[in-house]
Amino acid sequence: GGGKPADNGSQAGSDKPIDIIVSHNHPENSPEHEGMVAFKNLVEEKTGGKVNVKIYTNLQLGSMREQVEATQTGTIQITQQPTAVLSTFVTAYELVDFPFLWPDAETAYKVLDGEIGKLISAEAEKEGFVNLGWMAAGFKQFTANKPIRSPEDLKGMQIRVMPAPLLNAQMEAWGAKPTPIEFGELYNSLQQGVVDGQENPIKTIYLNRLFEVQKYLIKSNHGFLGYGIVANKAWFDALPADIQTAIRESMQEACQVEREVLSKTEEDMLKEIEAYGTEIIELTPEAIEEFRELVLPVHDQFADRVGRSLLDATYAQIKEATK
Amino acid sequence: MVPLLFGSLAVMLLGATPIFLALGLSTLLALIFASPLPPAIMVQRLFGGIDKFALMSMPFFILAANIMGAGGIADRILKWVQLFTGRMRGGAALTTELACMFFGALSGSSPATVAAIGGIMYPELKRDKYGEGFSIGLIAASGSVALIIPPSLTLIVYGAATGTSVGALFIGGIGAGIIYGLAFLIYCYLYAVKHDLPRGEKSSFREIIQVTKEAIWALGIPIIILGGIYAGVFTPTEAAGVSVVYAIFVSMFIYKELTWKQLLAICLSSAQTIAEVMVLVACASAFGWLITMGEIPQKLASSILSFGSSPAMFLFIVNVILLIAGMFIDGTAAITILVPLIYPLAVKLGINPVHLGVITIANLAIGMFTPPFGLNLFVGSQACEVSVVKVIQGVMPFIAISLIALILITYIPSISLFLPRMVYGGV
Amino acid sequence: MKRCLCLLHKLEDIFCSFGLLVVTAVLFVNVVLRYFFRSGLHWSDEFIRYFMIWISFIGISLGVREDKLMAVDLILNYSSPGQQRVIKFINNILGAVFGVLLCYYGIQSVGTMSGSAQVSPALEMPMYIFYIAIPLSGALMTLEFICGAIRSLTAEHAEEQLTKEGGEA
Ligand code: NA
Ligand code: NA
Repeated sequence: GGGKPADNGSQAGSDKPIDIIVSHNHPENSPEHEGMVAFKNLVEEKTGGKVNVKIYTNLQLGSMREQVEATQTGTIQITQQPTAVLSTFVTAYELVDFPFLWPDAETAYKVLDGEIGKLISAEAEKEGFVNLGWMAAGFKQFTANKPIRSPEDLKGMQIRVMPAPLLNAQMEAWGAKPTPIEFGELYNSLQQGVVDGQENPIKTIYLNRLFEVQKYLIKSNHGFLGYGIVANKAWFDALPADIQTAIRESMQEACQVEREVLSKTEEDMLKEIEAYGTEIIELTPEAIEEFRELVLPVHDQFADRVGRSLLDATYAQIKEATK
Repeated sequence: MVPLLFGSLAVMLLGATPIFLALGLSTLLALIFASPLPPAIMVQRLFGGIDKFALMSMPFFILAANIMGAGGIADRILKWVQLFTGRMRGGAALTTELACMFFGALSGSSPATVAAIGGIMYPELKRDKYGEGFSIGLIAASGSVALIIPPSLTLIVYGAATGTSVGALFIGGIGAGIIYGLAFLIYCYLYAVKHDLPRGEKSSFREIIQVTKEAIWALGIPIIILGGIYAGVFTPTEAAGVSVVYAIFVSMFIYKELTWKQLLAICLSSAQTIAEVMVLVACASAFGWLITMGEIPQKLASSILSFGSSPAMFLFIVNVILLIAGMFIDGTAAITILVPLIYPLAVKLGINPVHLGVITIANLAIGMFTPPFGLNLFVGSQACEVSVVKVIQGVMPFIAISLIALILITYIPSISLFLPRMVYGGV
Repeated sequence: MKRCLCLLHKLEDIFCSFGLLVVTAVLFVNVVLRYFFRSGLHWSDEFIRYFMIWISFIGISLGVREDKLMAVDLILNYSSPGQQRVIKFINNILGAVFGVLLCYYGIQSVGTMSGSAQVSPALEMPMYIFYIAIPLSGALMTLEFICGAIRSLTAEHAEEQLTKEGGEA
């Protein structure tokens, strides 16, 4: 039969192991999966077999949105989802997607692991989630069939983005035409030229073979694609304190694992993409500054959605961290 | 959970319960009585099952086909096609087959192909004295095997799941697609010979000009759909919507064979068809989700896979697993669930990833028209107004032919690898 | 009662037929905007999907109403007319049960979701609004299946009367 995945919050006293359903969106050869496997191994070891983690990969349990929803209602206990998806449930997550907010991954991790992450988590708790940690898919880059060396080149190009207001505003700020195309139709749409380009982290470009149909990969690092790891709050709160601690600690360690795997594989992936024949364009610092300045008004425009005080606190923390 | 789920499903299916209801109710009963999951999850799974943009081309093509049928477009296309196929033995069948292959390949959706081509060619086949079963079987089968011909969404999913070059997979699919196409063409020809189907009159040059002239606007439909997708003007889903608008325009303002009132009536009957197919997909997806959650396909697959010690035996088992999976779950889901189990073993046995990909897609394509849950069977039944049982009988010979083609593709790797090796060198 | 049912059917018909035209128009306008004006409606995909889902869940009761649903009728075709009526009655009852359950769990889900701040990504509308299609579909389906059950009983009477009359004449 189907096992007994769900009703486990209240069985603190029994000997039966607590089953935890964990879900994510990626294949088994991805850093994201390795991170969640690390969590499974760590937490099972730490609790001495009192919990039993089952990982469902590859959108098996539903689309990203549906997985978050199932976590909110308790069918899934823990899910790893992009902040851009979580933000449709808890607006504060949108902060992570602000273009050119994070100077580098180290700073982003440091700030999110600290006070700012706690503030977002507090917002998440109001919606029935506990944020257990932060992982990432890396910084978003452009790919296109025309070279992009400055915002001027991007002007008028049709760039596929996920359908989110922030991402639209960001593209419009650079003069590009944001175009929604379903991810499933993206490869063909790029090949056939329905759109001129798209934005995604190197890892996504590599694993989904998008570089095969794009002449250029532009290392713009213009946005950070982070994951919040969220658990169902009611379920989590009902767990025995020692299990809660084990879960939290294991996830913290698992996040480190995922980040390391990501940064290591990113370099290799980029090499393979280049070897395939896709030209890698490095932007000059001046060009990056131009991109950044054009998009800063978008921060202001979306500040009220995530909370202006949260944004200001984040600026301050970033400054602190990069000192 | 398994006995209740499959037991109640089987009883209801045999008891002529509407198929969507049999799937939905057995899933819901299993959730309530045999699963710790909250039954309310059914609501999310029904919604999520059809909350997919890739599914949306099918409803639009159903609508477009109905409008073309009522507005005089289908008639004119048929007359034009007859100019060239009338003289040939089995001409209508061969035309249907080629149209399905071409359309299926480009649109990438096999139920959409059944809706679009089926709506036009089925009446033609029937008029030419082809059997009901043969005609519907041909339509349901030809479109799906075209999924292996690029561009193919399912091959992209396979590429992402295994890290195989999508470009190489696309080119690899061409060879396999040609084998299927040939197998079907040969069968169509033999069928026509065996049943001694009559040849038509030879058309005069004057007739050709006349018919072409009348059909010129109607022929815009295939040109717009296929040209638009190929030239990158729009995605296959959008092509479907554009063809609806074009069909309305031509029927109402050029041919003047369609009134607003009739259009609304067609919309209504199309909505009924669309609703039933979509809700059926929703229920099937909830069913598939529940067995995935119970890890039934994974457990079955890993226990059977352990028997495959030689590459030949292994590939045979892979075919069996994928064919069965294709009967119950949707292609993309089958890849994400099963390929991670199959792929590492295949690599160990030295099977080429591109070859395995083509085999995988070929199986899942066949699954689109195998009972009990091949979506094409239901779309075909609806679009051509033929009972499901008739459709199932009709596809049987085509399943047999597909299996022969599948064996060739499985055991002659060069069919899949010849072209990629030429283009990419060492694949 | 009958008039209410007629009105309801009319509303369903209008929703489904006009609905299809509306989604087609949105899809088309988006293509035109993108190809000719290099812009687009960022909410079009989402709108089309959710509207189509609504048409599907509302439209399913059209098929129930006209008793035109796909089924494997192999055994049914080999049954006597009396057996056929029993089978049809049972299937209608099963349908009504499914409809009631769908309505019940649908309301439950929508209730839970309305407490959530979740919005759809592009339209930014509360997500539970789209889910209402399911309990609504359950309710409409129940109604139609009950009508169907009644029809399968009364049809029996009608047929019996017909044969009786035929016998006397
Ligand atoms: Na294709
Ligand atoms: Na099937």
